[in-house]
Order: sequence, then structure tokens, then C-alpha cells
Amino acid sequence: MKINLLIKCVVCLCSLLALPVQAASYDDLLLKAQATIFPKIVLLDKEIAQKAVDNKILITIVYSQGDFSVAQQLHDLIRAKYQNRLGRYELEVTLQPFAQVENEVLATAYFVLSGGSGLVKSFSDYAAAQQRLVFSYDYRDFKNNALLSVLLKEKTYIYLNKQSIDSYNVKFVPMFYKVVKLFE
Amino acid sequence: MQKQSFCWVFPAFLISAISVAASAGNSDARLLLDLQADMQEFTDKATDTKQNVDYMPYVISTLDQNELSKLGVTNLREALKLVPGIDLSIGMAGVKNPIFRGSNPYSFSQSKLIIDGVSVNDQVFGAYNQYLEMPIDIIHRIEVVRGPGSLLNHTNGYAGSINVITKANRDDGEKVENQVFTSMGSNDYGMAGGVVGYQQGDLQLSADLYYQKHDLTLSSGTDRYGTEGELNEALDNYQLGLNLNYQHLSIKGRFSRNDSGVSSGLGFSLSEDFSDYLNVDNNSLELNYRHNLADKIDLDLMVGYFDESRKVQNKVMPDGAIIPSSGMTLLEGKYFLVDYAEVTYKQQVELNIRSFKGHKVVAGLFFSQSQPVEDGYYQSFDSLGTLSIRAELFGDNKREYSVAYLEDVIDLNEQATLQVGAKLEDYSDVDPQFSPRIALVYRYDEENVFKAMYSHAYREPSFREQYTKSTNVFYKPNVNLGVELVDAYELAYIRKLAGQSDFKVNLFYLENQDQIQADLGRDLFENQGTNAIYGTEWEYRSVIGKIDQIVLNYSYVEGSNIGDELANTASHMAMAYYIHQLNENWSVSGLYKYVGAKQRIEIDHRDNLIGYSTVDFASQYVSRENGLTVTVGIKNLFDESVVMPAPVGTYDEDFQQDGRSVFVRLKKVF
Repeated sequence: MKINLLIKCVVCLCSLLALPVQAASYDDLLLKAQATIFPKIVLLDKEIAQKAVDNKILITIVYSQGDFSVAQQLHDLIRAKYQNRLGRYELEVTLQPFAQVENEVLATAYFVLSGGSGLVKSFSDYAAAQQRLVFSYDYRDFKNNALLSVLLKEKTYIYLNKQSIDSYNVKFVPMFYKVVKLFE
Repeated sequence: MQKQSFCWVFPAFLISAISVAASAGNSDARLLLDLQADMQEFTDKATDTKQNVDYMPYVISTLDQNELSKLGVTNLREALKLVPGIDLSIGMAGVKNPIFRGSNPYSFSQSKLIIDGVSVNDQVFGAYNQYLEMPIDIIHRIEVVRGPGSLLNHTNGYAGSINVITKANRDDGEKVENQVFTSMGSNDYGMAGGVVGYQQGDLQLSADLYYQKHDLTLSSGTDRYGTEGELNEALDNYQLGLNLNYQHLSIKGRFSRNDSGVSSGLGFSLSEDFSDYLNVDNNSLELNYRHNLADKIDLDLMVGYFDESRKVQNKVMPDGAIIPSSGMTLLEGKYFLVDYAEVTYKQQVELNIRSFKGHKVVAGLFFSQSQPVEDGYYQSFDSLGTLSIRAELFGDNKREYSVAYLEDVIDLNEQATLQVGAKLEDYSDVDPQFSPRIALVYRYDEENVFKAMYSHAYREPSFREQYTKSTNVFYKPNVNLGVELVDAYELAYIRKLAGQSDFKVNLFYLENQDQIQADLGRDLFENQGTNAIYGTEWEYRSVIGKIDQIVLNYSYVEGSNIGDELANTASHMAMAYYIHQLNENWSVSGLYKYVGAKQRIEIDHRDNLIGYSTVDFASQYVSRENGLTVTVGIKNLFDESVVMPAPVGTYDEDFQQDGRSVFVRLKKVF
């Protein structure tokens, strides 16, 4: 009886692991860390001056349906940290859904929330072609061509997607490569 | 002339270009230093709040207040039942005690409770049960360590430890939210309280306060004198926490009063006097000072005070009871009254060193001095008409304790972290102890983490087990008791899934020696020999859709914990809950708990205790604009029979627990 119960539990748990879990939940601490760290990385792009919009750094948060409140939260976190200045530039943060972002003004850099593989890949390819940085909340979006992410483990890691570096053709200041971890 | 101009302009241009480049380089260097500081800040926050614990060399379960609130969990005791491997036992006077992995279910002190960094186990029992009724409304987060060790280096948790962080002392860098809350429910339950915080520059003040009461009674079945009736489980409890933080100084105080009925009685006999009481008051005060000695080297100093007073009135023998040894009949039964108080003074100095790359070293010394300051008991044989001469309960016994500890958490490489630690502990009344710990975590990649841990730990006997002078006790003391020992081995695997989902499994093996037990027919506390407990715990946590949550866990325990039996312990326990977010404001949840059958000890010929399962349901409405939260819930929805084991020769039908109950809770955040 005990063994049957154990087997049933194992089968049940294994089937749960196989479920296509649509997990798009967001961790508050990780959002805060990314809101703090990503804008500083933008400043380390050697071609930042050419990518500024009217001499402003424009960061656009790209979100899917259902994530508007998270996008708003991220927007508020960045504004609370940096007000409207980033280095010697004025800072503007906007929100755009995946469906509309490519029709809007080309931003200096983008922050993508979870959006499903198709949406993130399509957008990241577009941004890479424009040499615009794409930060993703989830490092798993590296398979969808996002370039950078942050993960809180035993330390805080800034991940740089090694597979995507060439497609973005972005040059960072050399010292930046000492603090990032190449994700393969 | 042109040549002269050129000779002047070119060096100037060169100097200017070099200056600009240097300035830009300096600016980039500053930015990178800023970035590294940010990364360290969030590493520290994630470590302090245990959000990166899956990557660290511990096995910790964390319970978040928001999730507990949505589930309709109302207090610390209910929250602990969500952790795999934890069950509850009931001792004398209805004292409830968390049991970790079936380890010595009769002991009150195999686990430690730490509230905002202050250990609150007393000396008389090593217990903390009065804190289990803390409403979750004042709790920010609960961290449970299963297995030896604890999150305080000087505190020795034999089977596990529970770390409670209150809202007034939240450690995530966020401001304390001012709030009030109230609740009503079955058994005339009423509760009200609040949390406040104030900050002005470097000065932070915060406080929490609650009062709660109920008049629960439970059917007793027949006690050892053949008496039947109701167990008085009534509770009247308040607690006040006060905190001050100013630059490097912090002061924490907690003051608690707990009045309850005597439930099953001090001697496991049903009292005929419903006015019998058990009063437990606790006060604690700690002052901490952190001094930065050098870059990444901090010195922490602490002095602390803890006291407890216990007053008990209990009719331990009914009218007409016969004293077995003399044959004398007590026409008006016998009352037993206790007036006990103890104090503990603490001092600590601790060095935290992070200046060696890849190492986090903690070294420290901790001292405590504990002694009774009120120590008396009385008896009455004429319904409290007259009291006997006051006699000593524990005598002039003190306990002085000192420990030297050293721990290093070493980043071996990017994938592996090793924790090595040891404590050398000296007691005035038991043998010195050496307790090593080693743990390795191997992060194969971002999704697969492996852990292996070994620790050696011990539990010192409580005053009750060693020094009780009264003969009016169910289990007799033994002044020659030694410590009980455990060697714990554990393996764990964590699979991180998409989003915040994960799956965890761990295997454990506990080799216990010299367990302090009394229930083997002799009714005397003794160090009983060697036994082993082993098992596994599984946990799956996931987010369904965008915001629904599901958690499943299962624990299996086998081996022996009393003699050759795995007694008073369920081999199988399981828990599942689902929180469904209907919309931005409303959520509903269901919580299922299964506790399997429990065997008896060898000399107990009653049938094994059957298992039980319960379902709780809760619904919550949150209005963020108004800061209002309303929760309604039903516990034990199907009114299942929940029975906890009573010792052999006491209550034959064991301890029946409460059936279906309801509550409503309101919270307003300002």
C-alpha cells in the first residue's frame, strides 16, 4: 500500500513536470534589480550618442497582454531610481505592447517582458537589426535572441547572450566584459 | 608663424584629447563600480530575504505572508503545517510542539524558534509553544530549516529551526507599512492589532501589537482516572513588539502574555475545575551594535535579556482519587499550583569578514546565563481552601552556556559553493559539545542544482527533564541526563522550471543517539540509545497561467524514533494548495492536507491512530486603491475527525481536535 501510494505520487509529480506551464510571473526583487542595472548598461554602449533620441535616452518596455501592470511597475521602478536623468542624458521610459512597438519611434534600448517565443523572437530580431539593446526579464528568452538579462543566484549575474552578440553588432566599453557572464 | 601656431595647437589638442578620453574612461570606470555595487546590493538582499536560497548550501522553506493570507492561514502553527515533514504533537497541558521528520515526538526542544533574530525557547521545557498562536498579520516571512542547524550561528536546532521575520522588522529594504487588522471566527474568536513604522533620517521606529482570544473546548474522552468531560483550550493572548534602529544601533523588544486553559492537564488528567489556568509571560530585549572595522569587515556586538514566568493552577486529581502508593483517598482531589520564573542574560561578539575573495567568514563568541528567579509550587487538598508550604520546583540550578563558532562559505568556482563550519560549546551542567557542519551546493546550470550536507548536532536536556523536584509530574526527572545527539546526512536536488516554478526533492538520514525519552514504561527521562530515521521530501511549486499558484508536497519518513518503533509519527504526509486569482481584486484558494496513520509505541496496545485529511477554503478581496483586504475562510470544510496521539495510560481516545470552523479577517493599510 505504501509503495502504491509512493508510485502514484511519483507518477503524478512527473506528469506535472511535463505540463506546458505557462509561467509568466514576475519576482519583485528581480524586477527591482533589473530596473536598477539595465539603464546603467545602456550607458556602457559605445555608440550611445548615436542611439539617443533628441539627446534623450529612450528606454521602451515591451509587454504582452496581461503584463501591463508589470510593465507599469517596471516603469515606476526605473523612474524612482533615476528620475529623468541617466548619466549626462535626459531619460524617458515608455511602454509599448509587442503588437505596436515596431511602429513607434526607435528607442535607445528595449526591455522585454515575457511574451511567448514568437513575439519575443520577432521583436528581438527587429531590434538587433537596428543595433538596439534588448534586455529580457527572463534569461530563457536568449533562445529568442534577447541580448542581456540579470539573474539573482548566490550572486547577481548579468548574462550576455553569446549566440546573439554578432547579430546585434553592439560594442560595449571593454571593462563591461569583465563583469558580465557569457551565456552559451 | 604658422609653424609656431602648429607647434602650439597640436600639443594642446593632444592634451585635450587625452583629457577627454581619460575623463570618459574615468566616467566608465565609475559607472562600472556603481554597477558592481548594485550587483552586490541585490546579492545581499536576495541572501538576507532567502530568495536565492535554492543556490545556497541550506535546505530552507520560506513562507510568504501574502500567500499565507490568501490561503486563509491565520497563525504560525497553521503555517508550519504547510512545510513538508512537519507535524504537530500535543504534550501535557495541551502544549503543541512542531515535530520535524518524526524526530522524538515527546521532546519540546528539538527545534528552535527565532523571532527577528531572537531565540525564544525557554529553559524550563526548551519550548516556545505560546508563540505558535502568533497571527500571521504581524508576520512578514517564515523561514524553516529542516535538519540540524539554524540561521543563527549560536543557536543549536537539533531537528530544525523556525525563523520568523515580523512586518515591523522586515529586512527587504522596504518601508514598514502602517496597518490595522481584526478578525472574528468560531469559538468566539476575536483578534485585533496593528503594525506601525516611522522613519526620520537615520532613525527608524516600528511596533506591532495584537490581542486575541477564543473559548475553544474539545471533547476529552476518558482520562486515566476514568473522568470524561471537556478540555479547556481557551486562549487570551497579547503581544507587543517594539523596535528602534539608528545608524548602527538596533534595539528589539517583545513582550508577550499568554493565558490559556490547562487542556489535558499537567499530569494528563482532566481537571474538574474549568477555571484552572496556565499563564506564560515572556519578555525579551536585545541591543545590537554593528561597527565597521575595515572594508567588508564588520563587528557585531549584542547584549540581551529574556525572561519567562509560568503560573499554573491545575486540579491534577479528581474528587475521590486514590493515591496508589498509600491507598489514601483524596475526597476533594488535589490541586497543583506553580509559580515559576526564569531569566537569561546573553552576550555576543561576532566578526563578519567578506574581504577575502570567494569567502564569507563568520566567527563569534556567545554567552548566556540562565537561572530560575521564582521557583515554587504548592499543593492543595481542600479545593484551594489551604495551600501547602511552598516547595522548590527546580532548585538552585543554573545553566551557563558559551560557544565559539566559525563558519566559512567558500565559492569554489562559479558552479560550486562549500560551507564549512564548527561550534565548540560548553555547558555548566552537561558535557561540552563539538558540532561540525559541511555542505556543498553544485549548480550544474541555471536549472539544475544539487546539494549535499552533513551536520552533527545535539540537544541539551531541559530543566524539566533534569531538575524537577516535585513528585507531581507524569514523567520523572533525571539529573544524570546527558545530551541527545544526531548525525544528519542530506542530499537535495532542485530543478528550476519556467518563471518562478520549481521542483525539489531531498533525501535525509538521521542517526540519533542517546535520545531523551520517558515513555517506555518507566516514566523516567532517560538517554535511550540509538535509532535512525530516514526519508524523503518532495515539493512542486508552479504558476499556472499568469498568476494562479499551485504547490504540492509529500513527505515520507521511516525508521525508528522510540525504541524500535516509528511511533506517533505519520510515515506519509502530503499537502496541496491552489490559489486562483479571479481578477485583480478577488482570489479563492483550496488547501488539502493529509496526515497518514501513526503507530504506537511498543507497550501501547491501542490500535494505530488512523490518518486524516482536511480541506480548507478561503476567499480574499483586495482593494489596492483603498488598502483594504478582506478574507473569509472555512477550515476543515468537511468536518473531518482529526485526532492527535495521547501518551499511553492517559487519554485512551487520544486528543480530538477542532472540527469545522469559520473566520473573517479585515486589514487596512495606510
